[in-house]
Amino acid sequence: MATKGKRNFYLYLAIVCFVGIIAVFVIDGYLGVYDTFYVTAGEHEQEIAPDYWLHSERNGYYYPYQVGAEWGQTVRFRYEIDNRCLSSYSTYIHASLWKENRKLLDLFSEKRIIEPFHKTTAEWDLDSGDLQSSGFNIGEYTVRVELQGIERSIIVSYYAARSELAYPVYALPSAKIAGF
Amino acid sequence: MQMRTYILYGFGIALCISGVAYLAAEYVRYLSDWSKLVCLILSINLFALLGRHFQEAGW
Repeated sequence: MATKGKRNFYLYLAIVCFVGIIAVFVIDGYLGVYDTFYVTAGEHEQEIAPDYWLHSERNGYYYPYQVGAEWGQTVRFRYEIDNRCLSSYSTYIHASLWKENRKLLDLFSEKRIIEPFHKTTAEWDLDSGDLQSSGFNIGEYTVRVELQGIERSIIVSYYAARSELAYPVYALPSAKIAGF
Repeated sequence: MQMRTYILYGFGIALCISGVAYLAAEYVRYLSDWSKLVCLILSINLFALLGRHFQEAGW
């Protein structure tokens, strides 16, 4: 009887180890600093979830996220940082605009202290009018965001504003319809 | 009855091992170094304790 109890004890301990492994995956997956972008270009808001940056790495290269915007439009960025750590997270949030490895302008720069299990949001706009007045033209620009130990890149691809509708509009032959 | 219990045990163990292997293959790269170490220690204990359990059972 005692041997059976001892035998089961080993089995229970093995089950505890298995549950422990699952718990480590769940807890480690939840804890950490998570950042989410919400980019609004035109009428479209795109969410760049933290998972994107985990999957964007191929052979040591991090593929940046790409956003399309009409030249003349303002692209709005909302950057949410979620501190799911037991200690507070202090960082400088620094967003800047780059082209061909040359910094063009600073978009946002501020120090934030995020309490454990709290969020903070930073917002800034990218106005193509500012670029135009500095002599820049339609093309691709990189928005680089730096935090303590984190760097994110988003490529903003500007395209020419359409002067006419993107789809043909045919006038309905009203007389014919009436006669039908 | 005894044979059926052993088959069920076998299924359970196979499912546990395949579950752990799946988690390891898919998600281990997202774990921090400390979590990887804890998982390694727990995995070693898991297999050692299962081995001990079957040794006690007379396998």
